[in-house]
Amino acid sequence: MVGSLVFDFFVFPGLLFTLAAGILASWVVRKVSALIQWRVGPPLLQPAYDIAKLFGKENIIPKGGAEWSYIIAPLLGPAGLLLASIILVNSNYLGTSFIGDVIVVLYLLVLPALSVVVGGMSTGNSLSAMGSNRELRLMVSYELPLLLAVTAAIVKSGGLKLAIFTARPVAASVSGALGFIAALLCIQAELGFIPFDTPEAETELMGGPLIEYSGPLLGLYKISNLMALLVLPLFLVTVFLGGFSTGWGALWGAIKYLLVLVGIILIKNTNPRLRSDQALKFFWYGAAPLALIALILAVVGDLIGIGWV
Amino acid sequence: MSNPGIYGLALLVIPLGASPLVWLLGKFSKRLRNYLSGIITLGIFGLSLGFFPYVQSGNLEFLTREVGDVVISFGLGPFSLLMVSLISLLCFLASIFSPSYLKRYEGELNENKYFGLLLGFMGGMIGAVIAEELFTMFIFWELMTLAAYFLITFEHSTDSIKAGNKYFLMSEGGALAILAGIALLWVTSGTTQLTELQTTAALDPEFSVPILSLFLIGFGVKAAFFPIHSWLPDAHPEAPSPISALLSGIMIKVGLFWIIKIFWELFSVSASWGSTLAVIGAFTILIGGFLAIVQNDIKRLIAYSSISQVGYIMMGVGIGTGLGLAGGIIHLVNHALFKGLLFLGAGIVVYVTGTRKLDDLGGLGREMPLVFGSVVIGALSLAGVPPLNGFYSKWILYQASIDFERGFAPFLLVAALFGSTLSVIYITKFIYSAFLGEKSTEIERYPGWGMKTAVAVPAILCLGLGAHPRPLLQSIRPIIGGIPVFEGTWAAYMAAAFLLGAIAVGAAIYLLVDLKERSTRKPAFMGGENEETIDTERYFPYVDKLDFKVYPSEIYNSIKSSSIVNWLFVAEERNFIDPYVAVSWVGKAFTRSLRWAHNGLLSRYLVWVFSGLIVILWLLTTQ
Repeated sequence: MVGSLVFDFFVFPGLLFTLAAGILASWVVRKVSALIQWRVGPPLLQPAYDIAKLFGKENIIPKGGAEWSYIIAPLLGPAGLLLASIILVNSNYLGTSFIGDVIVVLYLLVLPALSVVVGGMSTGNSLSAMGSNRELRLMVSYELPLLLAVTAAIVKSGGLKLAIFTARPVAASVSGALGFIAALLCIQAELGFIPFDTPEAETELMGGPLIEYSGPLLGLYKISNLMALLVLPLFLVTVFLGGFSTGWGALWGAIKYLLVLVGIILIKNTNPRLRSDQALKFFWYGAAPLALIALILAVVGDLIGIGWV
Repeated sequence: MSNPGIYGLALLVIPLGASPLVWLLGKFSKRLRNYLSGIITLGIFGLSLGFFPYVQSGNLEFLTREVGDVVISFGLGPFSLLMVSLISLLCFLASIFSPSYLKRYEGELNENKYFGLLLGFMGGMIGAVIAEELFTMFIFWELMTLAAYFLITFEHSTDSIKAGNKYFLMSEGGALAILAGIALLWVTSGTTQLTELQTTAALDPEFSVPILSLFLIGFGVKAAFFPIHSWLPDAHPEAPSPISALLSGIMIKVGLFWIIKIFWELFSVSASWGSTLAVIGAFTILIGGFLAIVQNDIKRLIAYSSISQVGYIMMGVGIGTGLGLAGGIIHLVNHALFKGLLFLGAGIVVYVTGTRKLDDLGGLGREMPLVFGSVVIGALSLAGVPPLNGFYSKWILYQASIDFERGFAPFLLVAALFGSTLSVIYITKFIYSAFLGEKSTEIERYPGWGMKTAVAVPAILCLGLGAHPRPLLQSIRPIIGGIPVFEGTWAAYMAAAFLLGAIAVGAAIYLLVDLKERSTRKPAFMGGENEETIDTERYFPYVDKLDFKVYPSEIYNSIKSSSIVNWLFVAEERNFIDPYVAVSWVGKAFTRSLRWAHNGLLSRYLVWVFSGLIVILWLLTTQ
């Protein structure tokens, strides 16, 4: 029992796996982006080199800031994503699922954004404070459509267990497909990718909340981003696309995951950045009604008993 | 205990009897007064725990006596016993918290009155819960309202008296509704005894809607759901902190207790009532959550979060299935624990720094690690983070809303989930600005052991009941008649182990990279300048001192200015969603319309006097 827990935590769905897969995913993002922009792109291990370099550098703590929260905040993101990854992968792979694990994962996925907010507030730099400000606003904007879309999937599959979602792909119905589109847009924002990268906007805020971070602490934020690249698309695959299983199912799952990832990369590379208020309007007037329609369709389909609605 | 009923009455008699005793005793020895109130509250808590085995099989009746036409009756059921133990636990925490907290007033206020009222308040709440007859309940209900009024206005500041008056007038409006409901019930059903109402006398179907609406409004004012919540965010911050913990921890729960009891135990109401309650609950969750985000007063923020959490309980109760009731009642218990904890924690912050403004606070976590840890546990529990108890009850509520066979049930789920996201956002503001952040206020005094114990005990309970919720399930089993079966298991232990593991790994990383050795401190840079090198006189000639502090209020204001939800904050600021103000407007409009007649001119008054006389004479002569 303890042995398998330790293995879960450190090796397979846990630390080692998430890091390795995250590095791979990050490489895919950079390579595909490079291909779109007619560049060659980095070698496979470049993300790992970057992080190793950051961990070797000195750590600067801003004097006017709040030291404690400055140091603790970067840990929140990786911790939450690690747990989410363990729950997600295990429920797909082993079928170990408990009631409400969707909710637990949704909670854990809030943590990375929260760690950016708290980190940004504690640097004592007004640019990073402005970034935190935008991150909070973005959080409020994308959470609503995301929750609506996930609820549509919950209604469609009829339970709060991740293992139920994998039985039949939710997206193979009208409401599921609409919900999937809405959720994909939210994931884009949750990853902090263009067009929703206002909090970190390099050209105006110079990295926003991360502006004062350096060395190992910045490395932790980078690790959090890597893990998010694995966990967030995997969440979509599990909830909307039927997840994956063992054997050939794992390969099929990997293909689905890659398709979602490439979709995200394509959106990232072909769009300009939205302003903070535009993003809010986009999510509340665009994505939220879409997800709401998905939810209403799912409820109607559930009531009159038509599977494909 | 051969006849437990005799001891049961002690639950009520001891606090009420001790109330004047403590008041008088304080004149001789303050220490004795503090000890006595602590011992009495703790004793009542112990006594209430001893009753749990006796109510497993059925209700326990203490006393039923006929006085003329009126029947006075007390008894204990499983639910009321749960309430009694919660009341006494929180009163115990408040009474060990208060002696050091009252030092804040430096002896200027009458502390004896405070302790006397505290016990009276406790007696009123217990009486209102264990009464088995509605008029009896009403008497104790009014005692509770009155004691709470004097406790809220204890500081005697203009604001606290204003808030107290608002609380009192709204509560009395609610009490009138309750009284009208009881009277109507008495006329139509012929009895006000709960046992008879439950067994023989049915609710007259013709009058069921007015009776139930009156009860819903009357008890709802205390329970503080939207839109009759408006006394709560004014009264909670102005009351002394231990009293806020009691108000939010249990007094609003007494209102919820009666709503649950009347709607589900006494009369099994139709499903449309349940749906109404659930929808009210969902709106309350969202509105309370949004309004909590933009508050800049530490206690007002927690007060709005109380409204939001009441929404969760209402939602579970409205769903009304076994699972929904279980979730609602367990959330009621959990909310009492973590909200009591948070208000006491906020009380420590106020005590230590002397201010309630979030922007003026910061960096207290380092000074008071124990308090910080306890408050963080309470905050995480409020946000519903696994494996704490807040997650457990919310989890049952989510499952209940999925199983609820109504078309709008998924929207309840969305409201509950979104409310949780909002709670994560506002509770981060609270924790960040008070305990993390830059240290900005001088610490005036440090908390005493009583204060520390009072926050540590509920924190331990939050942790324990989250990881091991079985006792809670056991205690609500007789209330809802069996525990609904959940398939699958909630692996609280595993989640706890993993979270601890993640923290350990984080600490290991920091050790591994030798973070402490490798850190240097440098000022933050902005546009090529930094705090030390910037030439203030040249660039900012009209500014005395450049302020580099990051104010949480400014960061969170971006949510306020978002066009979509802005109307809500505007409505709150201008009191559009405040029935108290609405009633006062109506009253003012009415009196203004009569103002022309009352203008202070003798000749005009003589006209009224004589015309009145003529009318009276005319009436008398024509009869």
